[in-house]
Amino acid sequence: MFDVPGDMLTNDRGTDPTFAPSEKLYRRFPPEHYKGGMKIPIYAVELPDVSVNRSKHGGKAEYVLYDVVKGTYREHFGIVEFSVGDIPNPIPLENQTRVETKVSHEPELLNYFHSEIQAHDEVRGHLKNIEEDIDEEWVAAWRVKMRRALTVVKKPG
Amino acid sequence: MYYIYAYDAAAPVDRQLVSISTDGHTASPCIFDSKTVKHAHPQTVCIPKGIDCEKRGPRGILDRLWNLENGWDSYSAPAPVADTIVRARSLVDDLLEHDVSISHIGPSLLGGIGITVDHEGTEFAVEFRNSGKAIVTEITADDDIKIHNLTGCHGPAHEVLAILGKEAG
Repeated sequence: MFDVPGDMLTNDRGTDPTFAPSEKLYRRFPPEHYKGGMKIPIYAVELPDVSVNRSKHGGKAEYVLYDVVKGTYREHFGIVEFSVGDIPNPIPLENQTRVETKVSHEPELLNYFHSEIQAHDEVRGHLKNIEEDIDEEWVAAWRVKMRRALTVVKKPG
Repeated sequence: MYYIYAYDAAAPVDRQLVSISTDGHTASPCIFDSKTVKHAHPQTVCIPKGIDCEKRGPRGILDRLWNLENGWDSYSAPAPVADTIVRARSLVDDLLEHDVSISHIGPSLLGGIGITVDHEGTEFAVEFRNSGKAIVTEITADDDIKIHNLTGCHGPAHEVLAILGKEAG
């Protein structure tokens, strides 16, 4: 089995649906998307569903480097952090259903801190394919606002 | 002038040699992952002259994207398909020819390729998606956004240069 820090194991811990606006979230990113002195490009910003790690219950930024799905440690990746309260909810164009983004705690066996930023609307529920379901204006607004919220806490390499 | 990249369908599936034929001789500076090439194109892939995986600068960065596989971001991002890379490469060549400085080139998490141009305080993010869609997102210093859909009627370079306020020439 892939070896992760003991803190990451879910064990008997249950799901915690409560996210304070100040809670930090972390995500790893590949070297291709980092160039010193410039903003992260918007095409490097993922659309919901976005996998992240939460900080509540002892989640550390470096834990996102443990890729528990592929069973490898992503040493050369960078890490960004942002606060729950900074996750954008772009306003859609006229005649479109309002899309809400929210964070959901989705623990995995080897990663208790795994969470997901999801997009929902009142008609279709959880939107699985934002690019197809939502107007490009929403996509662009999401990416630009999300990018503004990101802080690089570890550079790739 | 184009190099012709072809894969050998008879070779082992995990890594087939991609041969390069141009000007009557064969060279092999790169071996691409066969799945990427096969997935992208059933027979051959034509890409503009000058491909060199070791090269630095915008063209070299772009050319290395041929080697990406699905999940390159460690999550589930699709690798750029051949047609997308070819279109992006063509735009990069044209932009460089018009002395447009390219700030960044990289794969898009949505599947495709992104090219960033910073011009007079405004950021222009060109995105060629695997779906065939091509978009320029214009972002001001205050994060105001304007979307331009590239129609392809006059070629992406012509349209992008017009958005940048430059003559295509």
